[in-house]
Amino acid sequence: MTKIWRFLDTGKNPGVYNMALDEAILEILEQGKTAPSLRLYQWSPACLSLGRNQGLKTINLGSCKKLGIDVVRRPTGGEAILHWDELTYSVIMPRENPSLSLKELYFLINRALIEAFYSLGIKTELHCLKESLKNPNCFLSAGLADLCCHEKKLVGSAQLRTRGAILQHGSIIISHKPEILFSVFRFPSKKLKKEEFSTFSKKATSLSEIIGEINLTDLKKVLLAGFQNVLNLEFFEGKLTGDEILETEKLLEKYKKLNWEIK
Amino acid sequence: MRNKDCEKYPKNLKYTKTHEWLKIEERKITLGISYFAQEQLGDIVYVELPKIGMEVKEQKMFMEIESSKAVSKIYSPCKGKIVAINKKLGENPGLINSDPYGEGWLVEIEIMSLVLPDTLLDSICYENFLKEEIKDD
Repeated sequence: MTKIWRFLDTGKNPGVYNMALDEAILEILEQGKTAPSLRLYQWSPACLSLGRNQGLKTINLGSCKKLGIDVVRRPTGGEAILHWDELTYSVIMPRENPSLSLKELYFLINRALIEAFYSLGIKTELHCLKESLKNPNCFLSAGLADLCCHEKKLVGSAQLRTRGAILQHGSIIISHKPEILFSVFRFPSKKLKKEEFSTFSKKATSLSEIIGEINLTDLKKVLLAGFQNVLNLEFFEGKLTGDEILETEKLLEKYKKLNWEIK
Repeated sequence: MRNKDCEKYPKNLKYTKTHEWLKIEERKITLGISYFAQEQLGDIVYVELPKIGMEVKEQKMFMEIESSKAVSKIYSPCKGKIVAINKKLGENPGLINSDPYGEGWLVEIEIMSLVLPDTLLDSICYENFLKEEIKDD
C-alpha cells in the first residue's frame, strides 16, 4: 500500500537549527501530530557535525573557528562530518509494528539512494570498504550504514531511535575539500595526518568526482523519485507545522551547547 | 564476542515489549536489554548511563546506547530511583552483547511501589511476542 509522506526542502541553515529541526520533527511525529517526512537540506555556514557520543579530543575547535566553520553535535551516532559542499537527507518515520531494525532501515534507505544515483548514471553499492574501520572522520570510517562507489565512501548515514519513531539522516557529498577537512581534526602526529591525507582519495569520493558538475535541483528530483519507488511512497510538498517550529526553538538551546546531557 | 551458551530468555526474568529485561527483588529491579535487543543493535560501542540518584518515570527515556552509528533510547519500565549503574560498561560496552543477562546489566532501580506495570511479560509470553514480530517481518 502506498504511504503518504511529506517532502520538506528547508534550504541552507546553521547546523544548530538543522539538528534542532530534525529532532523536533521526530518528537512531534512521536506525538502523532505530523506526517512522516523526507527532508533535504544544506548547511550555512559550513559545519562540522559530531556524533552523539564522539569525544572532542580529535577535533580542532580552534581551526574550525578560524575557518568560520560551526561545530554542532548530532542526536545520532557515528563520527564527524564536514558539511561543506553537500546535501543532507533526513527521514523521520514512525516505528511501525513490526519496526524495522536499524540494519533493515539502513538497507532500505540505501536502496532508495542507489536507485536515485543510478538514474544519474552512478553505480553505488552497499558493501564498500572491505575492512571495518574506526576513525573520528566519518569518511575514513566504514560500516553497514554507508554507501560507496567503486569501493569509496559516498554517503554516510546515522540513526536515532526512540520508542515510537526513527530519524535517519545522511550526508551526500557533492565535492570534498580535503585540505579543509584535515584541518578540522587533531592528529597524534604529523606523519599520521600525512598518511591519512594521502589515502583519503582512495577511501572517499564525491558526486562531482564521479560525474562532474551536479545540478542540485536534478539531484533532489532523483532522490525524491528513489524514495518514492523503493519505499512505495507518495509525497506532498509540505511546510513545518506550528508545533514543529515551537519545538525547534526550544531545542536550539540544547544544540547551542556542544555537550549536552540526558535530562 | 557473543556468548552462544547464554540462555536466550531466562525464566526468572520479566520482559517488556521494548525488549528490556527486569530482575525483580522486592524493591530493587536490575534492568538490562534482552538477547534479541542486543542482536538487533549489533556491536554496542557506547553507553550513556544515567547518574545515580536520578528519578526515572514509567515509560520515560533515561539512557542511551550507541551501535552501528545509531543511538537508541532506553525507557524505564517503572517509576523509581537509580541506585546503581554498571560502570564496567564505560570501558567495555560490548559486555551487553557478550553477556546481556550477566555482566551486561545496565542499572538498578529502587521502586517506590511494589505494584508493577501489568504489561510486563514472562519469558514464554516474551518469546511468543518475538515470534509474532519476526513472523510479521
